[in-house]
Amino acid sequence: MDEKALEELRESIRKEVKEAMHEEHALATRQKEILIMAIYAAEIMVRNGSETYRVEDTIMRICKSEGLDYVEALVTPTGILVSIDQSHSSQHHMLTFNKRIQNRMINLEKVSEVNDFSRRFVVKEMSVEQGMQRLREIDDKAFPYPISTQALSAGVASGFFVLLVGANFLEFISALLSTIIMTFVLGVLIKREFSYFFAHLSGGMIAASLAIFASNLHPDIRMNLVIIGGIMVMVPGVAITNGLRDTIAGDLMSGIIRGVEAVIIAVSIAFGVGFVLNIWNVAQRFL
Amino acid sequence: MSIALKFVYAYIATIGFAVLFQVPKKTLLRSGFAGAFGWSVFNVINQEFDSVVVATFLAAMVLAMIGERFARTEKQPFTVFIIPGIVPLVPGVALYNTMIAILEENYSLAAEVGSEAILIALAISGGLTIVLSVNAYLRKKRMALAGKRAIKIQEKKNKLGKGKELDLEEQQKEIEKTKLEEYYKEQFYDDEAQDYSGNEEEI
Repeated sequence: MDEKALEELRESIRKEVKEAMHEEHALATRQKEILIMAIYAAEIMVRNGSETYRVEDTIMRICKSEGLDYVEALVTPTGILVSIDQSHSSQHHMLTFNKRIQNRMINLEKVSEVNDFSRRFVVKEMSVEQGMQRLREIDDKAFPYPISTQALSAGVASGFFVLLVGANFLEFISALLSTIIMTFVLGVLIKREFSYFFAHLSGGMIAASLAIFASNLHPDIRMNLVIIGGIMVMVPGVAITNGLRDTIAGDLMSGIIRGVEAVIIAVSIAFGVGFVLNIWNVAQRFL
Repeated sequence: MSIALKFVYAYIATIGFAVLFQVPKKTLLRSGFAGAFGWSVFNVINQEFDSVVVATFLAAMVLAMIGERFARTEKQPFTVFIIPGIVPLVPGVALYNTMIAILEENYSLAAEVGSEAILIALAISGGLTIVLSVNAYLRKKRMALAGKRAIKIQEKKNKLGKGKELDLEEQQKEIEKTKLEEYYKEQFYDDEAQDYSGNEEEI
């Protein structure tokens, strides 16, 4: 073989290798884009109080619809871990992404919107870039109801709840008013990023103080019912129930995390209420 | 107090809790209905059989069924309907009584009321989980059927030459794609799924 033919052969091999590398690079970039989008969707869901299995399901669906056969997702309320690859058999392009989640709240509107988004994405209604943009829109959305509306509705909820457990009209009014004040303060404290313990402690103290105040205004007002109305709004019923449900479903880690969160919230409410009631009991002896 | 009046109170209370959890505006009324119905079931059974735990358990089951139904028709995650609905059932009163008992240093009473609170929480999550897992099983079955249908559709396409010249692997991928689409139609768009199976004959 002469020099020239050899050189041509080398050139063609180089070209092929270059093309293959280019292809591989493009593939890896695309994989990364999909993974980042899936993680972003999952993050929004976890931060706004979605259940664990729904988040894992969403990640799986988004990745599989883009032709990634190997998807493993581990979701807990404090962090997300996802690995993806092209196929089960050869895992040469494995990508793993880890996302820490700092604070959580309950905003079911966002959960519902991401859920809707994943449904649209899977049937190829949008590209990955468009999907990313849509997710950013969802993430930046303000609360559908401002703090004042929330406080008002919490007041209404607690008022009608105490009516359900047998309160009279005066107790209804005092539960309504005290819960409005309490929820407003609680909302502001959580917005200012005070810890959950402190916020719920303050909430419990306010609920108990206002209930004592109300029960001294009129003898018909039973203090217990007004306090119950107030703490119903804060009680971590959702966290307890979701924690137990996660545990029953086998997501033990999420279950334990949610359970601990619920216990901390319950203890802090009890602390706040108990503290004020105790002081009141002591003070009554001197009055 | 009559049951109807209590239903109205529970309705308003649940909508209040729903706003607190930022439920989308268009589903507020349905969330309220789920919660009110669940509470009414609780109320009636509690009066008949005088057992808070059993009443809560059955109410949670009914609530989960209503929530799943609404989730289908409204194309929303069922949490939107269930979370506000369970708040009136949550053992807030029992927790309060436990705390008071601890404050009074009456620890045997605290243990009694406290375990009632835990049992109520277990009843809620048990009731929800039973209904949800049965439904999940049924859905999985329907998904398998949708998968079979997807394979059939692909085969028909191949016969008519619409599927171009695909090798086996690509065919498999096409089937997977069709399967996903079928599955989504099956789960969320009930009526469309029926239309689709009608069209299948034409392909």
